[in-house]
Amino acid sequence: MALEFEVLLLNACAPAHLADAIIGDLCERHGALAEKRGEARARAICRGEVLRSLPALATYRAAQSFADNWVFALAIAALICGLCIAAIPFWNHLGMAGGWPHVLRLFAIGAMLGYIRRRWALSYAALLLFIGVADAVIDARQFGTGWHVLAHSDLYHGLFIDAVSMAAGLIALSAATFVQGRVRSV
Amino acid sequence: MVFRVSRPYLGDFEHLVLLAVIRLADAGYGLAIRDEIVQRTARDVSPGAVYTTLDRLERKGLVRSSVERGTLARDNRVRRRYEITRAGHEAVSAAQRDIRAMSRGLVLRGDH
Repeated sequence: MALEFEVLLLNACAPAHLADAIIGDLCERHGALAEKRGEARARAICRGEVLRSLPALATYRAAQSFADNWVFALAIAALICGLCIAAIPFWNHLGMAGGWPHVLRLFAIGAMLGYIRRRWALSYAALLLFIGVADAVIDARQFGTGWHVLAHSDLYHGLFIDAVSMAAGLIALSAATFVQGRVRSV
Repeated sequence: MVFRVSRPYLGDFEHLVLLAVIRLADAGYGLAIRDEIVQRTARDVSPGAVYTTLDRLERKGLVRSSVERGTLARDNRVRRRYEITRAGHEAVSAAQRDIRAMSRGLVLRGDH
């Protein structure tokens, strides 16, 4: 094949499930152009098309792989966790200490997770894991029981409430957006 | 996203790609879609832009693709054929309706 370099570029930049079809198109086009305009011209045109395609393909591939993997989900969860921890000193001043404000905060976090385009479920799971670990560490230090806290505490009850609060926020936002979409389309 | 807005928003280029897929009916291959847009709009469109847009539309449920076996001319590489879905037809109709509604009564300088 006369387009080894172009094929190499496309394989490197295009999403895996599209690369074969795009390269096939390129070969087909190259063959047709070579008959009409000669090999050198055909090759120049195909190379130009590949080079013009690369930014769109590379950007799209990067966006897809960024949004579709665990690293992204964990990063979002870590960011939300970090923001919550950073806000701890202000909660008391804002009258947000105590049980119900805690539930309200998690409800808001659940709603925020709903805005993540993909992998919201992974972010949700990762965040819950972070919260679980944080709760376990806090309880272990507070009661001085070490890791026995995992067997003898209200940790799981608290975690369940956290999970339900976040899920409620996520579902409420979904429902609101769905209703808004329906109203718009009428 | 966990929630779905009942009518997906269509970008300018997505709109053109969907119209090309409708025009080509059973021959909605990537190369043909690109040629259709280039010939009708005189836009300089790269194959990469067409394929990424088609993939995005597929994720939105507006087109569906099937894979066909490659030929010798394609170096035995697969061929993807795109078809519009019912949701795609509805999205195009809605977008066209919006454009007609917004253009009605307007005299645009580019028309003369």
